[in-house]
Amino acid sequence: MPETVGVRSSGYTDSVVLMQIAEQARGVDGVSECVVAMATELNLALLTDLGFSLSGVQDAAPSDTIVAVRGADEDSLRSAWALIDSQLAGSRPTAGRGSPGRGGYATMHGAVAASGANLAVISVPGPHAAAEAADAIRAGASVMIFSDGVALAEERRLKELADDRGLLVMGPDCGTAAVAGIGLGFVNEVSRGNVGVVAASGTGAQHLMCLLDAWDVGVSHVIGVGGRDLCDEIGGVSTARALKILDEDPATAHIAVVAKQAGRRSCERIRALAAELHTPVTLGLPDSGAVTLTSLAARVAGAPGELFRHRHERAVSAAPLAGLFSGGALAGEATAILSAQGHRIASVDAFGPAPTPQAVAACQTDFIVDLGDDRFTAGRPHPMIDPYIRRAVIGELAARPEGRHLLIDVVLGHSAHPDPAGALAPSIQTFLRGDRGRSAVAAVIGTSRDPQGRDRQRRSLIDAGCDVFESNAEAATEIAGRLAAEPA
Amino acid sequence: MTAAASLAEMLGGDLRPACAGLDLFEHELRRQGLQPESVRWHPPADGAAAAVAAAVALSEPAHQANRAAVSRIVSCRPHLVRIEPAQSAVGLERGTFLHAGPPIEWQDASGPLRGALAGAAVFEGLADSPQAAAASFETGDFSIEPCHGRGAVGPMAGVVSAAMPMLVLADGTGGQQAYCTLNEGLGKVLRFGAYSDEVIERLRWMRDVLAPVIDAVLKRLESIDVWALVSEALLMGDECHNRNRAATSLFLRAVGAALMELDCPAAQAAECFRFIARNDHFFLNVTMGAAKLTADRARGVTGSTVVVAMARNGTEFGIQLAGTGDDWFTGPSGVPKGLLFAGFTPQDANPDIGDSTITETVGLGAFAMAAAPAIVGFVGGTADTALNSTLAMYDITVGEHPSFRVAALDNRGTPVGIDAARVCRSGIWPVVNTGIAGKEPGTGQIGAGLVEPPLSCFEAALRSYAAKNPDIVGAAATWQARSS
Repeated sequence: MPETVGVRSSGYTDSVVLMQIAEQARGVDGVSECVVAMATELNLALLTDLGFSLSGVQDAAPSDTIVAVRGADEDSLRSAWALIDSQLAGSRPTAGRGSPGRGGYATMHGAVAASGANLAVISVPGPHAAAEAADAIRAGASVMIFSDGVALAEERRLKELADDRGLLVMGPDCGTAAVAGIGLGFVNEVSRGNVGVVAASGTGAQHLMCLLDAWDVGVSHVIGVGGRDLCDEIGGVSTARALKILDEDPATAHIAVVAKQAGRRSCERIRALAAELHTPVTLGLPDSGAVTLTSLAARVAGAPGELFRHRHERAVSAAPLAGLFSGGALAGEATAILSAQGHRIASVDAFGPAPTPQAVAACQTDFIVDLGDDRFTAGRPHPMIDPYIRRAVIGELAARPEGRHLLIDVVLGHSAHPDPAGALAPSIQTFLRGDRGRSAVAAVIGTSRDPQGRDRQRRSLIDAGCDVFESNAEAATEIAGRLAAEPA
Repeated sequence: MTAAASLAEMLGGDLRPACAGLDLFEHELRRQGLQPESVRWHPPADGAAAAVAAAVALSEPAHQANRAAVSRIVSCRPHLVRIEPAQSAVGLERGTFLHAGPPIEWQDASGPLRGALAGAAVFEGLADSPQAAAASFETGDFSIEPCHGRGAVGPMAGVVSAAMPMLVLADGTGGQQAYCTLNEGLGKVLRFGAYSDEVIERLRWMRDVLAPVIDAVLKRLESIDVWALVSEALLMGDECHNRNRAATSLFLRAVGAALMELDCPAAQAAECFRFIARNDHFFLNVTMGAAKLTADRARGVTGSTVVVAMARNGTEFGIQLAGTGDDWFTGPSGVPKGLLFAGFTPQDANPDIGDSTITETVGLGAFAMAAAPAIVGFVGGTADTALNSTLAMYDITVGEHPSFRVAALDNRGTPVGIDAARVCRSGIWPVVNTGIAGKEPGTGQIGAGLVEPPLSCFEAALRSYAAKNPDIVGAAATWQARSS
């Protein structure tokens, strides 16, 4: 039976620690005997008693560590030595977890190193997020960065750092993810299934998982890669990593990728990678043609049934659009659909650096704003959590005399406001009051099992006079017909 | 486990999250039955230093430099090899004196440092009285410089003069050596600024009797493996800075037989044995010399933010980083909090003093406090205080020491390699155990406790690092650091 005996100069180690290391090495397949001990006369005698040859350890000083392994074959010896060396050089002989001090962990570095966490969820202010993420990655964890305001160069550095280690960076600005049925951040209650979703960051992923759920298709994982992952400066590092791990994941049989912004080179890279995978991939990239979240979900679901829609019978007159969204991806999709039909839709950029509800309401052209944009959220929670800003704008619109059509999203799910429709319904009702040819259309993003009660949410909006759609794309298409025709 | 395996494991259903920032993520995970690790993140106090620290965190070269620095630290194997007069050991000429901490002028020196310097001049025969000695320091006839600049360290005032015997520490693999004086014992001793006749008399005895005897013992033994002894002492309740009882006992066990075999009068050998046996802190100076040798291994690692020296001169607390050369970064030295001997009040305490923080620098002292619950009484704590003191340091260190293992932490290695960048990011300062000196020269030790280093010296060090490493820190953070 092959054996190896050698010396390691790793400094004094207590015998109990060394015995624990030896015990671990004995657990390696094929290993029949193992001694790890300080090279004292007593221990050398022990080696002889166990039938090991001392020829390799004659020069060992008492402060050296001797290692002797006997096993079935060379492979088992090599594995045992690798384990012993890593334990001697490393810190802990056991796989036991460390614990934080009474003050708790102060850094991700401390938390991941001691606990062996495999996912670091980071939502500290943007300028500090990258450093915590880098620490977590180096300590061996993948990261989900909710924080925004992470510089592009930092994002690239983090993603390279993680990719070199086979780890994943979700985000920055990633508010939605689900890993093996565990939701992270803003997620809807959906059934588990075999579709792996790779999406930018937030409401796009939520809408996709909700639509799939409506068509009885469950998800295995939802991986948010951050809105800039597919820009060419980043090159789709996280998207590519996500595709690879989902391809290897036994729970995933179908992958759906959706991105609203992507560079040409990154798209080509992802397309090429997708073609190599064993798992079928449905791509919803900007260069895939006119793809909406709804059409993408339909492609993944196969032959889907009808989605929920409720229209009120009312006389409407052509008027400008006021689109007030809480989800960036949903605002983007609505803007794309209306722009494709020839409407010129102003964005938040039209309102300067610090827009007020009054200024937004006073805008006389078609506009769609993402109220989750930094310019609206300074010093205030996100509109998915706090309805204040949207209620304020709708209130201003209601007070003005001119005609308007209102388009909103209402996003349900964990972490969102407990009753977002109820919080908006009174102002929508006021907005629609009187015979002014106004209308309101809402896309309600959620599932029947979401904590807010999807049916109750739809009912609040319908009772307030709002048209309600399950599909954001359908909601946008519906309102397109009510807008003033664009000048040719 | 490889990193890639951790990702597969996560998708496979074993999600082990750690959360920093908003409550909602943690809350959601708990709702789903998971127990996320919680990071109590606080915004850093100094924005500019934090920007540099963030750049360091993202830099692969800085990361590699810090790994290299810590790898040098943990691979050093210091041995006590001999005892030699300071004159030949560190090239100290009569009339020049070494002191603890960063550089300082006589006029800024505190009571204990002045007292120790004056006493040392009397010991050297360069002055008839402490008063006369003080006058010569005043006029600049005697010059002073830091121990650290000569590869040496000294506890408390850390004063070294030419004729004083020094412990010589070396690593078998060659390279530089490090030095520390011999410990004089407790009570009225030079290192606490006492300079009475009995103090000077003891120094002479140490020079004439103790040093030659121990040197002869070391020759018989060839050397003593210091970290082997320290590792055992950690398992016996020492943290090897404020508590050295186990280490000193282990030392006596190591030298006992050789001492008896020496060709010297038995009474003299017994006198030496008794002197060491009565002084729990005898081995501290050996540990300090070994720690100095160890920390200096990381000195000069370009791009590293790892601390290679923390030291106090009784007026200022100073640090040096691996990647910023021999520059000191200083802030005001705090007054330690702890237990005072009978008859003293906090008003009697001098601001913190000594090079003994070199022990914390290499993962001992307060960093190994979890190994020494017996001494938390000094700081009015509990056994938990000891554990927490060590655990908190993993947040600001780069590695764990493979030899310094703590039984109470399931043999986890002590935190080692203080990263100044992580200190600035987290606002967590290195914990430091210390003795407390009376502020009047000649008083001696009046207690022991804990002290908080000033964060400002870590921030200053990072600013200097930024200026020296524009490629790592990047233009934006460098500019921010300069302009603040």
